[in-house]
Amino acid sequence: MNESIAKKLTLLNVIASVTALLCASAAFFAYDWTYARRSLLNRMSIEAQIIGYNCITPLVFNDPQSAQRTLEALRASPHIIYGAVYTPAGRFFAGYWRGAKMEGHLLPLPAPSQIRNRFPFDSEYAVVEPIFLHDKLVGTVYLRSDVGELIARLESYLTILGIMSLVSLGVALVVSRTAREAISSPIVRLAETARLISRDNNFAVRMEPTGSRDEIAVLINSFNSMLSEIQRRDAALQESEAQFRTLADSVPQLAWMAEADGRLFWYNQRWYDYTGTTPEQMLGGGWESLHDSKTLPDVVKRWKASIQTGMRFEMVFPLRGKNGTYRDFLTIAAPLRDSHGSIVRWFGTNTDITERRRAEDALRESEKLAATGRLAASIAHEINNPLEALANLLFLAKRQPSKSMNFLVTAEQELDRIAEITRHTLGFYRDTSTPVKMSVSEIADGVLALYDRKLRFKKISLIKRFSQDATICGFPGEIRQVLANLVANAIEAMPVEGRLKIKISPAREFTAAGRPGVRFTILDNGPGIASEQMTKIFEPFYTTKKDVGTGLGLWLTQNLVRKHQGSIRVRSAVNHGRCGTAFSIFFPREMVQNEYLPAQSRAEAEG
Amino acid sequence: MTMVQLHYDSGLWFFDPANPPGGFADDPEGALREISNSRRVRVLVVDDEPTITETLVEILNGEGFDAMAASTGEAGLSSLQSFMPDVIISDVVMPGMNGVEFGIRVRSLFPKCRIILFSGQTATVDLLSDARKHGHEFEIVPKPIKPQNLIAMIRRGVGN
Repeated sequence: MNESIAKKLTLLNVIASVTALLCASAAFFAYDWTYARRSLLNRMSIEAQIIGYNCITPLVFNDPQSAQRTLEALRASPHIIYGAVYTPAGRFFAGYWRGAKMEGHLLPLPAPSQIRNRFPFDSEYAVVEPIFLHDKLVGTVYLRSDVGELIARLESYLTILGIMSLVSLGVALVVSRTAREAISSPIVRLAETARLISRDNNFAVRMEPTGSRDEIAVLINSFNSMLSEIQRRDAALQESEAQFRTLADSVPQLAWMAEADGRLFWYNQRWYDYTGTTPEQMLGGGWESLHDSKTLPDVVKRWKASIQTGMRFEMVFPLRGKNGTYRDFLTIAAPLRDSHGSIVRWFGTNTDITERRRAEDALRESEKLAATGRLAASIAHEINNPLEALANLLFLAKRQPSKSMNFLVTAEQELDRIAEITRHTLGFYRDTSTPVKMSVSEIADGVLALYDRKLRFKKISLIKRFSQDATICGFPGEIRQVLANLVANAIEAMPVEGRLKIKISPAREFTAAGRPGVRFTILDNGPGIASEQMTKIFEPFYTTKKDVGTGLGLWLTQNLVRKHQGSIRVRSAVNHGRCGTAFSIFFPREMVQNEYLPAQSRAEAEG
Repeated sequence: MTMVQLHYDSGLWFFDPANPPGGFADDPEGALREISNSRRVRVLVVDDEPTITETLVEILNGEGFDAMAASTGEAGLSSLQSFMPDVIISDVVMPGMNGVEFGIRVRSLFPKCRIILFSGQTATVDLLSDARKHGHEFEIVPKPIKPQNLIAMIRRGVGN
């Protein structure tokens, strides 16, 4: 049904009125036809009875001429085409014919069962009327009539019906046009308005009210208020979009958005300001042109992995600015999900961490210097004490020649101690610019020699399990500092008569890659590290020893381990009677040349 | 001659807390001269290195002093009452109480006692400047110091 509502309405109107008219006409016609037929047959029967009555005498006296004259009276009834009287034996007695054509044509008397008088099957109607005299059959009258009268009646009926149909059709058309005005034209205007709105996206258009208070008016009102609601929402959306843009442009980061499939489609103003690009240049993966070709494959690989898994993307990589120099950016991208949990888009930021890195480097440097300074101070103490003892012993040896031997033996021991300390500690000041092969066990021995006095003072029992083939490539001074930091921390944490276990052995890393290297594990029975502190111990300036510590020791340790591409793990228990802390450091045997290796540190707490 | 406000009992010297020994603060050298006249100068050596304390005690005893050793500041404090040193030579960087803290405690208890700190490392400077901020001045000698110089320094304080 592709017709418009107006056409449908018109058609319905016409069909309804014509059908009603036809039904009414058919009923009238059927009634009238029955009535007309019956009255015709009645008239014929009466005429036949009159003729029969008048023909009794001619029949009794066998006077066909008289009967003939009586029959001639039928001329007054133009519809009778044949009239005849028959003797009881069925012999023709007298007849009447209309028109000369049938003159003298005798019809046999039909049996009553042969007479049906059904139009239009019978083109003529017949009536047979017996004539009685004193209950004795004296003859029979037979009349035939044409149905011209009925046909004429039928024709006039059809004419009236035709005229009536035309008139009612006209009326129906007029009525439907009025109905269209009242019903369909507002709907058509509504449809037109809706089409206009969807074409131009102009929601400011409104429908004129019709003035009536019917359902159409309700529909138009609802339509208008729906448009207002859409306009209001549009405005709110635009406002929130504007707010978002303002926010996105005012954050210090470069920001961008990507489709769920990873195509970047929007960047904030800072992005364009920093990179010196235009929105057109950024179309279709233009961001890749701002990357260092060395890091781009890794960036693309990890970005694709994030899109596939829906995992947050986090990476540090350089981006080229408009002046052509690269700066390091920490990039974080998180997926925005809809109510069903499927990713709608990605929102990402790039934070310039060049300054932070420089500051961290400076801090690292200064902490290294400070650590070196502290080391120098403790070395001075370590050397000056035996020197003092040496001076005293030599003085005594001179004053008491008899006992000088004892003093000189002790003096020699003090000298050995000085030599030992210088041998081990000089390495702190001498560092290479390229990694060299070294034995971790030897370095650990040197560090322990330095802390020997403290260990003895606290009566700490030391359990060493050093493997002699635990060698790695790296910077000996830095490895020494890492071990010295951990040993010093352990000694400080431990009670008097504590137990310190140190194990060094060749090992593989606890990761899928399982790189070969050396694991250094130091276990103390100090009070342990509470789990709430565990996450902070590697942060710079975090210290539990406010008066003596700078809070940079473990932070520097972690940095140095990271520089050697190693990993550091902490386990600690704070339970009474079963407490202690274990630091485990893995150093890979060889370092790989890759600046952007992710940091690996884990801290675990045991209940 | 200044009155010595100490009393001698069962071979030990005590001072009377009710009569603070202000006389010494007024004329410490005179007081020391008085002590030196009556008995040998007592020196307490505090150091966590046993070799240093042992050798120094032996040297000082050989030089006519009455010397005694303590391995920590705490041990030094507890021997003060019984030993009544005239001079204390103390290391600065020690486990537990450090030399400066020890010196401040001794000053509050025995203002007449002379305190010489000797230290082998530069970290001492911070401790001393902290102490100075709180109004505590100490004599300081560096480690290593030749025993004859140390003896001369002690004698200088005693006078003559």
